Amino acid sequence: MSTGDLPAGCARARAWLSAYRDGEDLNDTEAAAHVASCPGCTAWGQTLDGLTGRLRVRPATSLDLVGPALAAWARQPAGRRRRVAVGRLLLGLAGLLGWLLAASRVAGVPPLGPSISAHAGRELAAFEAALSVGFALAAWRPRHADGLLAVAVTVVGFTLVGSAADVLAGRSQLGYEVAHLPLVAGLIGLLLARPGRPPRAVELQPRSLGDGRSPPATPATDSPNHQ
Amino acid sequence: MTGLEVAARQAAKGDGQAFEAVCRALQDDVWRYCYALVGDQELASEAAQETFLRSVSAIRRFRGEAPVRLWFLTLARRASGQVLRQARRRPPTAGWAPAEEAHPGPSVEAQLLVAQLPAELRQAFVLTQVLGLSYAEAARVMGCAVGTVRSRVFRARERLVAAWTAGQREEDVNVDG
Repeated sequence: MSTGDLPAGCARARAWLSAYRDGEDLNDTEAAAHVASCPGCTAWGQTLDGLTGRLRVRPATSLDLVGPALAAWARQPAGRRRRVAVGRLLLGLAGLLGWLLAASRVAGVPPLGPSISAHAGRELAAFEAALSVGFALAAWRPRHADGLLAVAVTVVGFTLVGSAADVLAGRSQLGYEVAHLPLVAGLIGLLLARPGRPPRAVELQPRSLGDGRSPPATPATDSPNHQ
Repeated sequence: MTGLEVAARQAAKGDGQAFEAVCRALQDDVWRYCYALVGDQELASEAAQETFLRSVSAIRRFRGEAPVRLWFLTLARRASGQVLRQARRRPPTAGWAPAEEAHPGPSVEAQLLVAQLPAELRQAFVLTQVLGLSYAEAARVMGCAVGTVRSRVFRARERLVAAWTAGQREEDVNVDG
């Protein structure tokens, strides 16, 4: 039986009765009068009420569904706190050292490696200073770490590839390249301190859940978690 | 504010005991809703676990704008969607297994009727009739209009009454013959 087979009045009255039984639709005297006077709709309502009683009881599960979440909760905060603390320390150091390096260039202190023009040196110093300020900012407020990450990855990537090429070609020495360490430290710090979803601590193992435990469903009761 | 809402706010601030209390209080409702959504006990357990796992990080953003039960059920809807998508990529297993087969009881046939409802009707029906949500709350969880909930609940009932009536008639015939 579907609404299509019913007179419009019956369909409307039953839709009202359905909502009325849920306490959702109270003011429709017309529909109420129809239900009272139409034998078909009255019978429908009685069957519905009888059925509702049977359907209130429901299957539930006796499985422990929250165990993995609790395990994840237990592992997550302490590990994350430590990770963020290390990240912020690295960021702070990277910011300070990077800023000192940049300042030294502007002040005219000769660089470790092969000298570059004063103009290029000042431009380089501007970039280093900017990144250092970013690192320091992320150390202070780790939520800024995510925004800076793409920039830092790009700078570190270009720098390391360039340095490697120069060292291999003999244009620079490995010792000179230690000046880039603050950059790398800053990048690692960003990765550690960035906010975001904690790593999933527990693997989902739904298939083995039932092993050795009670059957996957209990007869419906009001306290389905009895073991 | 109920104890559950208080606990949820404490959990949002990082209280592990409160988090556990909230999860345990809601695990049946979450499982039932997942079951209504995915139509398979094993997948429902998987979806419920995924719901609670997601809540570990998401609860920090819980501010109590909505009751925590609705908040978890909304999370359960998304988790169920993910579990269903993953399940479709896996080789098919046995589909519907009526929950009560091992424990026959008076409601078995009625349960089976609900199981046979189309998913969208079943979802609306379970939220309002089993979990006791108002139409407005169910609409919020399902992400649809209140009128849609109303009409889905009605259509679910229409089918249930029709199927139940047909079943009773068959029984009468069998008894007579």
